[in-house]
Amino acid sequence: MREERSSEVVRITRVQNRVNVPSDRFRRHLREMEKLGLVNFRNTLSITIKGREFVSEYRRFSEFMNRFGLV
Amino acid sequence: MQIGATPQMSSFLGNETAPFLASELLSACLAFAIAYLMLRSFRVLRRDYLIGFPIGFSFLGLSYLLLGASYVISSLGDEASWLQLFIGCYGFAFLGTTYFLRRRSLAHRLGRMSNWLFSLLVVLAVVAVLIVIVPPVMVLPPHRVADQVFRITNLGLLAYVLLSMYQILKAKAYELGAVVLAGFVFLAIEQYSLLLWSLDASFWSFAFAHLSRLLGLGAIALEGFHRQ
Repeated sequence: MREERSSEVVRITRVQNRVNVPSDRFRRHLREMEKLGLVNFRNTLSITIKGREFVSEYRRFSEFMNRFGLV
Repeated sequence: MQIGATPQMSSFLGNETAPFLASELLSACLAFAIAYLMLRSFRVLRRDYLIGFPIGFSFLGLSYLLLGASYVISSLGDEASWLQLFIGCYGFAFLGTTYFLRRRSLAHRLGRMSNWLFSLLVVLAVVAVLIVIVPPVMVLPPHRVADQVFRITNLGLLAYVLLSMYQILKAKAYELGAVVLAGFVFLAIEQYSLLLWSLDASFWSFAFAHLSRLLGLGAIALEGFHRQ
């Protein structure tokens, strides 16, 4: 989603094609992420501030565990 | 200051426990700090096998704390030194299991194995604690012999961790940290020095073991906090 956004909002089908997940499962994941406050999901998709923070934290810890050869 | 740890320890440490007590406490702090970082990583990344690292380092921290306590509280004596052996060994077992499960997960053969393995390790840890705390029906072997067996087991587990790290380094699949690798090498040196100490009871083996452990844990903690 970060890669796909040219502005703050992206089209759902573009992201779905990139992540290569069936539509029903993808929308289920999006609903879960919306419940957690990570994305705004209507006809278009946008990432929230909380979502951005999560992505940045995920990258940081991923890099940390990478140093142990674990992720 | 009276020493309540093993008789072997009492015989050569005399009243010079303060530096070693400080070393045990510092080691425990470092191990718990690493465990905290690992727990945060697990909560964000949500890979099942990663839970082995916070548990492993918590066990190690607890074992250092127990040994430190046994220096000053003589009544803890024998039970504390036995528990310290068991808990320390479980700490390294959890670290080794984490690398074992990571390899399985790469081969897509993990399934529910991580849950089973970690549950089994926890049950075995509880049983081990009960064996020491509840007045044993069976006679435990001499502490010195057990100490050597546990040190060799710990060395085996650390060798497995180092081998896994070496394979990762060779495959260049990950950006493995040299500092982390050095940290685990120092922990292996610590166990080897403690093995030598249990054989010859030399002061310098014991002191070198403490130094290696502090360097090892310090290196791993440094890598962790540097990345935050």
